[in-house]
Amino acid sequence: MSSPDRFSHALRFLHHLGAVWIAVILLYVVSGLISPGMFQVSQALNILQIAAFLGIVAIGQTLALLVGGIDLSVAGVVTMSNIVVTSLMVGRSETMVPALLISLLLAAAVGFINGSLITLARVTPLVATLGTNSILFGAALVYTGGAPHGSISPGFAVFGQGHLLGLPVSTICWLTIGVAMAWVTRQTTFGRRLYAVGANPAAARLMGIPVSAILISTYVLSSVMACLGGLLLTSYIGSPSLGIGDQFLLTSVAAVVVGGTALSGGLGSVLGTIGGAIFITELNSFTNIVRVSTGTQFVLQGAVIALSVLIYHLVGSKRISS
Amino acid sequence: MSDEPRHPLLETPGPVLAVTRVDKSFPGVRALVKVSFECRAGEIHGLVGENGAGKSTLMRILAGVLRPDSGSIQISGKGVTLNSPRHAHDLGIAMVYQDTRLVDELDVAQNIWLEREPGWSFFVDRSEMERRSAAILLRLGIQIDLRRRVGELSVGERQIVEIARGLTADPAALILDEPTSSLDPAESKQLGKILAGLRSAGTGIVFISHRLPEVLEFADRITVMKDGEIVSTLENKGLTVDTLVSLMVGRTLSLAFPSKTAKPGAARLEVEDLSSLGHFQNVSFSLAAGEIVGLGGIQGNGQRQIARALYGLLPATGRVRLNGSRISLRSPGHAIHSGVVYVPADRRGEGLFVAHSIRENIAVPHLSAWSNFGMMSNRQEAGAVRETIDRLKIRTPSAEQPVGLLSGGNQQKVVFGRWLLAKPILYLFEEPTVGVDVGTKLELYRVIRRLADEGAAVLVLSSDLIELIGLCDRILVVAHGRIVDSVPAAEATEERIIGSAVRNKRENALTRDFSGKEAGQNARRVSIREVLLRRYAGAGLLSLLILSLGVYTTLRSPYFLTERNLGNLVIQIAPLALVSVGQMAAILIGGIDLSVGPSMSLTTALASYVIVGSAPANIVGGIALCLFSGILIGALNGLTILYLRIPDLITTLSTFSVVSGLALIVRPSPGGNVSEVFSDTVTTRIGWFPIIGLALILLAIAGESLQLRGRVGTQWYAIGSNPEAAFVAGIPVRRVRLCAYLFSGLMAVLAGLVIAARIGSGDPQAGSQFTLASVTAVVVGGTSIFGGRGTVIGTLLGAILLVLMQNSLNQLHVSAYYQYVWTGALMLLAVASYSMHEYANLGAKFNAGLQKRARL
Repeated sequence: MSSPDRFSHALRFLHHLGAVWIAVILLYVVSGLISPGMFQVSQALNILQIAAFLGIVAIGQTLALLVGGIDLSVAGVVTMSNIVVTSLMVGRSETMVPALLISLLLAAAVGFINGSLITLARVTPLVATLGTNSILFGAALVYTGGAPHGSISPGFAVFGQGHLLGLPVSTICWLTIGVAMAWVTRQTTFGRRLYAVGANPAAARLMGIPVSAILISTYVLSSVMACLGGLLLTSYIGSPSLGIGDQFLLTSVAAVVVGGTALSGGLGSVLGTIGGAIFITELNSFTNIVRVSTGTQFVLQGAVIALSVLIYHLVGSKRISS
Repeated sequence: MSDEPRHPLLETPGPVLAVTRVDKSFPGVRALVKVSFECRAGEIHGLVGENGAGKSTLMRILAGVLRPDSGSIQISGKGVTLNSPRHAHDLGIAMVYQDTRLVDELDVAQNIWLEREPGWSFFVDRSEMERRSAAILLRLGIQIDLRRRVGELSVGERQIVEIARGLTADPAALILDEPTSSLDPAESKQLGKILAGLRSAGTGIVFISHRLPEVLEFADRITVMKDGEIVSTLENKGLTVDTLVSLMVGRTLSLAFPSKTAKPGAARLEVEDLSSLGHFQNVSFSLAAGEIVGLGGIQGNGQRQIARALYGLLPATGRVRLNGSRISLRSPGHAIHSGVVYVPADRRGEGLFVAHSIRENIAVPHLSAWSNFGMMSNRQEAGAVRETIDRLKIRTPSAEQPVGLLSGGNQQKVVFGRWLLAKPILYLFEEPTVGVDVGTKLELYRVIRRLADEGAAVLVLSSDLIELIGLCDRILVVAHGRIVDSVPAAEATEERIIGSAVRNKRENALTRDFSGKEAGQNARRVSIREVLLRRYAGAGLLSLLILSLGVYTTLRSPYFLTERNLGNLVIQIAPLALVSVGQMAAILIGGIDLSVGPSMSLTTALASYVIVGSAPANIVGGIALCLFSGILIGALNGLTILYLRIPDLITTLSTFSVVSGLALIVRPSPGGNVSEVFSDTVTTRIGWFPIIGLALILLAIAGESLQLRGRVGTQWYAIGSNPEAAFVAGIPVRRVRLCAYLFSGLMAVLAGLVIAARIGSGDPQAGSQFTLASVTAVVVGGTSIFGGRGTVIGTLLGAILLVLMQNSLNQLHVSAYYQYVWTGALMLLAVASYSMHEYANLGAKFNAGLQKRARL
């Protein structure tokens, strides 16, 4: 066995296991060796608590990539849900449920607009969601006048900050949603159609699948997931903050591609993205441990996106040619 | 051979083109096995074989598109290695493709001379190009206005343009791949004359065709291929269609096809007065149980559209009954529900989910049936899939194998197999055996016959008349969107079918306008005005918009028209204009560059360190360093996209992140001082007018002339509009695309330098809004987001409009926060209206040209 052969063999082996989980474990061990505090249970739980916000947003992003699109408006949706829910709750309890419902409805509306732009007006997903993202950011500025006010209901904090049976509530929410969406995508007719549309929309149409309806519901789901992530994050920090969602524009895409979902659509999984979100969060805490600048973090993040696409690409083409 | 070779060198005609023991394999298929073939000077050499016999692969190797795995190629007796289509063409091999590889966005002259334009190193000599094109067309005896866009030509005219292109270099060998499949006999005759003329001039011609009578009429020698091997090469003396067919199939016809039905049963499908505007009219026919009926005639006369309309893919009026009850033709979903299924010709494009497993591919139309309340039943699915694999003998290690790894024959069995489970009433097969080896082909014929025997009705479309005649019980001849004849199996011959198709053409004067090919059209002239309008209508509209916005703001705010404000406006426009022109290059070639905004930030940050002091040498050195960073970023983008094959979107998204990070590393917060000399120079004004405005005007002029007459402009349009055509024309696609990203990177740096000069310091966020704004300016300026169409002038006007709007809103005291809203909205509006317009155009084109092979 020559060494390139061995290399590709190793790559394939990792691929079958789910390469992302290997990466998650490796990075954890490396950061633990540098900073032994990482090996404490509380620190691990802390990472899982923080990863939940990105994790839920990235689940939505996974769906968008699975249908062969992309959703860059998740950033705007996270900011919107943060601003809306705090300005409506204004620290009182009785406003909690209506505030949550309203922000979820708004998010669904954004997703519906994205989906309609993409299917009916034939705007490419990148341009459509980049446009709505800009509009949402502008709307948040106009709505708050640049200085957001308000705070969350007292009972709402438990979702982001509380613990249940020793586990962070945010993590429980995230994993529950993740497992549910994994089941929906793999074991329901909707999920199977979603994969089919992503792999080949023209063929899907010829098989009688209502392609536009599937695409629109996917973008609605993506927005709703972004909103849920934003709400959980808001519950964690307790106050409004303009541009709080901006970080998710790139990290959500990063988590999805690290998790092994292909950009071409129809290949990938929600479970992989859960690993991807943990990896990105670990990477951030790792960069904090080794005290690199924000700039370096951006550079690393970009490199991670490109590298993981490249690695999956290599594994994928090895598989086809074998 | 009736014509005597006149060329002195060709008195003993040796092979101009020869291949020896060539092998070629693709994953899962051996496309060519030890193929040896030669074409002599001054002969027409027919090459025949069934679909998938390897003809196209062989031709693609000769055209330099594919490389053989082993074996050798000789041109005029000399061994050669063909590195690229360009190389093959330079060595004297001209290729005329079946699905014409032309660039719709370019005009006739540009297509004929694509990548071989006469002229100078950077510019094309348009008048020389037109003169030479006219000479070639004259030689071919055809008149087509050289300024017509190729997108509006009929298939026959496109074919002529392709041949004209082949003749630009006076080739030693001309290869024509199925040139007559969409031509009527009159046009084929014309082509025959042209070929005879070329032959007598000593050109070696390889003529590939399904239409055997034509091959027998034109060719001097005929080579037959089967399953990737040469069966034999024969002198065209005393050959008949039957001998050729039995060589192609490897057995006599009667053995190849299953026996026909004895007596059809009850009526299954009844079609009455089915019409679809621009496609077909008043089509009526019926199909009985057990019957296989073919739709034949000359390709592109509406056969495909009739089948697609029956499947709900094309809006149509009329009555369609299945088993006596009317069915709706609203969508494929409705069709499937009523018992109609369709197997499309384009297996990879419309039939399969290539990356998914056999199981998933078979399951797609049955998801509802195999589920309860939306939840899949895995057991039911696995059982049904197993059954299908067994029944059709699909050769695969497991049901989880991705279909992309199967051979063509097994892939087609998956496509067939997924429908069998539903027990449909009517099957529509379009090219059911395309790209399938002969063995599987015969199996598929038996499967189709068995479906009919089991009581289904079957409609078959095939460009292969032998297949149609062999398989069908009855053939309906379609000409110009009408059924003009119904030929029973016993009487079906190729002559009879083509004959009816042509006889009835004249009788259908009413439907003439479908074809767009009547006498007047060929001679259609295109005036300069029309050419200008085509290119600049959008720009004119934008100018009007800009003007009215200016007038409105002047009326509302006296400050607007002051010299001070106008001068500032120009300086504000400059960075956006520069970066947008770079962005336009990326979008024009079918990509996008999201990293331009961060590149601008990085430039200001760098400038605040390296463009300092007042020594000119320092300043120039600093500028050079900044430009170098732009080249690096552009190269990183381009190389990653082209050589690592990561999509442009994700590549530039990751460089977006990387470059943003670098800007923050270089200068974590705004600060530093950019050289005042530099700032003053960049913002110098003559009177109130900044000289940078002059630079923009120069950029516009240079850009427009490069796009209109420059080699690089043609290359950009060709690559964006049809990358495949650009590649086979010999354009170095990768290098040109890489240059576009380099250009985009450089323009972002120039834009960043202007900002650095304006603000006088470095700011790691200075460019953050420019990614979105540049895309907006480009699309508002009329560039198609899908590439292939756009102008520098339009982009500049788009940038002007954007900055002007911001300025006006400031004058009118609208909150600056709104700019995010309207920039996003404007971009969405522009892209949506352009793409919907384009889609409508595409529909109109599709309607107008029955001739045009549909790409929808």
